[in-house]
Amino acid sequence: MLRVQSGVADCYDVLVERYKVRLFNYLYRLTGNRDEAEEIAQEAFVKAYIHAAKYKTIARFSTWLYTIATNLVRNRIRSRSRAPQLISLWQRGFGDSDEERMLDIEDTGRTPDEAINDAELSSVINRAIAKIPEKYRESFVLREINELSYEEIAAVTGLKLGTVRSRINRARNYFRQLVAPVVEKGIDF
Amino acid sequence: MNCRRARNLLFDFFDGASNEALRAEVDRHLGECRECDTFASELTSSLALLRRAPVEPVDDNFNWKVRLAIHREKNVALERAASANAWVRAWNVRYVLSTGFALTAVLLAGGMFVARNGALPAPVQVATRPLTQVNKSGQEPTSPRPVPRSNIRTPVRNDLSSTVSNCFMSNSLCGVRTMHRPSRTMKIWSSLS
Repeated sequence: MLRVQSGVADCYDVLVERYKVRLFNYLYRLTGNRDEAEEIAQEAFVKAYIHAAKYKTIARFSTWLYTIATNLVRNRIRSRSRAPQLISLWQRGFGDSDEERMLDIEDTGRTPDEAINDAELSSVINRAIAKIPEKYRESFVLREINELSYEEIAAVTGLKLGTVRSRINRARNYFRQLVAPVVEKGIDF
Repeated sequence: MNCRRARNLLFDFFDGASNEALRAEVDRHLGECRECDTFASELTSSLALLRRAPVEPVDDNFNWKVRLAIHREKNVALERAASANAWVRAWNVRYVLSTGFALTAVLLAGGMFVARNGALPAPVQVATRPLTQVNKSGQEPTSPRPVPRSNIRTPVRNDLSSTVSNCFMSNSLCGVRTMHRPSRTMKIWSSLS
């Protein structure tokens, strides 16, 4: 990043190659939409390049990149909440009743002990994460999917360490309840 | 050890916290509390499921798309800078022209005023000497006293004597005549002429 700041633009390709998968997976789990995740990831890399002069080496580049991406996601959510739109995963929150908490797992006629492929596992996980309340979702995905430390998550989200811990634990509890039927059925992924 | 504390400690153990004494206590509680035991097993399996989430691949053209987007942003920034410069230049020209017009208008107005009202009056000269005579006691009278006629020497003949006698009289700056007493020499000279 120091080379990029000094004007060696070709070095930025190295940074993009290094962080694109992690950033994309974070955004994909957060938004549940592949195209949107790719668009936001591209926008985050572009913004990081344009504002390279503002990057300070006291923080890791990945932390800074995640911060930009998180702010972009928050802006999109804010703009969606203002404009009336079709009901999507964004607006579906965590319900109070047990029925709403459970995921609707499609009955494909398979036996419970049949393996589900990666795509279905991914789909189950995305749907469960989409049902977690929005304010817990960011910290949860950064911890469980991207395996960031609590300090890094606090830097990315702008929250205190204690708040990050409590939000992650609550999100884990929600996720446990959502995935309970899948676990109960003993489905082997 | 209550259920709430046991569940909070379970989260800490998942994050890698290790305290053998606390772990033993939690295990004892899980053995006694069926709900917490179910909670622990569900938590373990759900987070294990999450950690097995497949890594989604990125589009092959991702790097190229990022480069293209950066190139477009740079072009947009250059265009904005160019239009901003043009705008500043246009504003500078307008400023100069408007200032010129304003100055011209002021000069024209001033010229028209002078032409209408004629030449300006001559400046008034300020008196530096007192306007009134000082009396014999050296005090200034409160109101100006007229000069007695007997003291005024009016020129009778238009010759040297009158010229000489005229020398005895002089006008002050404000036009009031003041008297000078002629000397003895001047008296003799005037009687001879």
